[in-house]
Amino acid sequence: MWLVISIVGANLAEKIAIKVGVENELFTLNDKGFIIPASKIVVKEIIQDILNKEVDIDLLKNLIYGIQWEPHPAQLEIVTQPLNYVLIERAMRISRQYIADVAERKKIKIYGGSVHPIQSNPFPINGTHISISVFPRKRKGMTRKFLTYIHNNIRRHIPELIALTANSPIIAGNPSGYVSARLVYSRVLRPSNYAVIKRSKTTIIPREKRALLKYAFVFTDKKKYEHKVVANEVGLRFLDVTPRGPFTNIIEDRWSSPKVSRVEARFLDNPSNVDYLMDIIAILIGLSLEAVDKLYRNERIEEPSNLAENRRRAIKDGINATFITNGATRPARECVMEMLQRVQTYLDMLGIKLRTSLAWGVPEIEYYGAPEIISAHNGIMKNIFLGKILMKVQLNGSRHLITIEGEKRRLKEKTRIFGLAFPEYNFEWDEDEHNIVSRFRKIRISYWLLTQHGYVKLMPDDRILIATSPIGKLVRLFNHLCKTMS
Amino acid sequence: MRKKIVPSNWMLMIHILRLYKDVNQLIQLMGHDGKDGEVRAILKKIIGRLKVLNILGSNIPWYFLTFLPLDLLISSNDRFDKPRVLKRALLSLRNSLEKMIVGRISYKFLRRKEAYMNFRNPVSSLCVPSSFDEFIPGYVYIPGRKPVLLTASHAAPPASDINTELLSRRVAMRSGAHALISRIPRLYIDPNRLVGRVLPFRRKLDELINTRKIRLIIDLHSMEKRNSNMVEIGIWFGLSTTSSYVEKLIEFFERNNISYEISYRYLGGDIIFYHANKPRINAIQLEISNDIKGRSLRLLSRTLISYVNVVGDINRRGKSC
Repeated sequence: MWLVISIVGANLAEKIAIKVGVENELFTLNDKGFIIPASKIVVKEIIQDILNKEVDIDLLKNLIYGIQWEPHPAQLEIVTQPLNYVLIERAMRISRQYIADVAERKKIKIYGGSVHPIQSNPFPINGTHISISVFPRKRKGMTRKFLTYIHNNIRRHIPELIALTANSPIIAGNPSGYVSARLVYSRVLRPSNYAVIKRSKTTIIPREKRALLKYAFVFTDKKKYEHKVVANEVGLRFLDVTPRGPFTNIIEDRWSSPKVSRVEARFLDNPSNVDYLMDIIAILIGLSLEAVDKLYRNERIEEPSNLAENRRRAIKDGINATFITNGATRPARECVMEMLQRVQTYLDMLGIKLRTSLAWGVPEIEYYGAPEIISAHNGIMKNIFLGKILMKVQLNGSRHLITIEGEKRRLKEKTRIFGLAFPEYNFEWDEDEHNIVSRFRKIRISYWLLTQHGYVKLMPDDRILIATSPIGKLVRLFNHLCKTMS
Repeated sequence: MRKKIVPSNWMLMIHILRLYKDVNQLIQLMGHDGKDGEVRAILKKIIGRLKVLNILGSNIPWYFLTFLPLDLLISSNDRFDKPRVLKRALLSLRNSLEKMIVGRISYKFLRRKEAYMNFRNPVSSLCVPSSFDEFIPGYVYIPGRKPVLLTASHAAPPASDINTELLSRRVAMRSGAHALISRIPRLYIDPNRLVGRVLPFRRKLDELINTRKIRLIIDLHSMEKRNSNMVEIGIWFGLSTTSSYVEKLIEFFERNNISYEISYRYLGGDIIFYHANKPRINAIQLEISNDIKGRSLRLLSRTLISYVNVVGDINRRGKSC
């Protein structure tokens, strides 16, 4: 052991360096709350600002690594530099404010949630990745042991952390049945394994790419061995939590500097504002320090026996789940509170206080509530979900039919019309101090019927006479032809 | 949430192939007198096949919605009592099935594009923002006399396609083609996507195809300059048009020294994909480089005018191009 003193009680800030990096994905919305492929427009505007010298590059470059597009044209990502706790907050506030201001110029809104309650089906999905690097100030980066311990300690608390941060219950206009739909559907969040340090030959490195096992060859001395931190046998980096850097078996990181060694947590749903984000970062820092403390005390971090099951339960029920610990069931809230108490000891040493409802174990989704869906006609929505989107409706009052030329014709009460039903959405949302849409509060749904002659708005008391799917309609048509022939 | 049952690719394929075969047979038998018995037998077979498809998976109705023309779905059954209307509907059904089959078995690019086109669920993919009635009609129509229709679906700012409105107006005025220009900003509802099918712009397009005997749709867009090409041509891997229309267009481009490419990047959007399902309709998407202006733009519009004149006249005389 190269540092013999126990961390607890010592001057932590002097001995240990803590760096945090954040990747925060955002959506672009129009002023009606719909996802629009406008990340290119925002990025173009930023380029224009840089060319016109309207942005303080010197300030930004110290805080932000980049603002970049994601594969989906409605996604943007802020990536910060590795910074300390105070600066990371500054970086996030400045960058979010800047992006919101730039978007505002083009009448575009920025949305900070994980999923869009209507248009994510289940994609596009956003996430927040937090990278933690904790190392002795004497060294340049994290050692293998630090990586292993911090990874394993965060990993064993994944169920509690998911219970505390899950906030994406609604996708495709319907409660998904999970508190974190993002974690259910995301393809890049496979569970990691217990990290160990393995000695292996350097020559042949197994790696997985696009679900195929492949090998990378490094032409070194055939007798050369190296010690690698392994959380996934085939060096996959798309895990819920994963050690990163040159000391790991991740091939992409093989030639990186030890300075970038870190543990990356990817299982966190997007917090709606910077305060919640900072609290999550603080909890992760606390868990990392607990791991370091255990390392110095020479305590082993045990592999929890029901981690996978508890993780599943946390994704499903969030803070209201029951976890299995030591063969007995325990409310998730109790486990979360216990974790927070332990973490608080370390945060007190750093002078960090949790500032949101997370401090008393109340997740954001419980504090603000899930979006409320108000449908003008439950029967129509039910039929649409079943694929029966072609409907014959009897109007319960006179109504206008709007033709495709925009002319209005009056339809009498009890008129029967047939057509394709489609929903119209009206969103209510909350914005944070940067004018970023932080959460959807209410989703009102009304319905239109596209008929052969034009559009008719449907009302709650209209009667659905027939509802059928496109195939059902074809069956009716061919049956009609059969009858007319005879 | 309702669990989706997704049938395997081959199972769906077999049923669609059989359906395609039967619809094809029905089209061939129609118009032949004294074959009512055979027609009735095929109709019953088709109904049986459709019923099997309906129980094959919960996502099948949405899959069909992606491909089938809305006209066929929202019209009353009585409308198809006229043999001409029925034949037209059956032909477009056959074309849609053809596209399903080709899309499933063809190139990986096509499959990827098809996956992008597919409805996942109308709740999220066929939805409109509040105050939908404010978007009606949301287009400008310039009537013409030739069976060619120019569309500028992204003409409304912000994020509009540069020059497309100007070009479509200019070409329509001077060549006698019809033009349809969208007035809805793509940032609200994109007329060239799936959701756009319910917009008056797209319904008008369908109406023009049915009533004005349109044979060729030229959908105008603009792209960022990425190479020396002035124009990129999107034809959905050749599924949206017959080769003669493209060959003629290329001939005009070459004659006027307009650099072009058959694009694998801009295959065509939903307008090209969907409206070309109608019988005898050809659709071509033109992506025009953002940086062309002045003389080059005038050259391009002159080329398009002469192309429309030639293609339109051939079609008016009742011959195919």
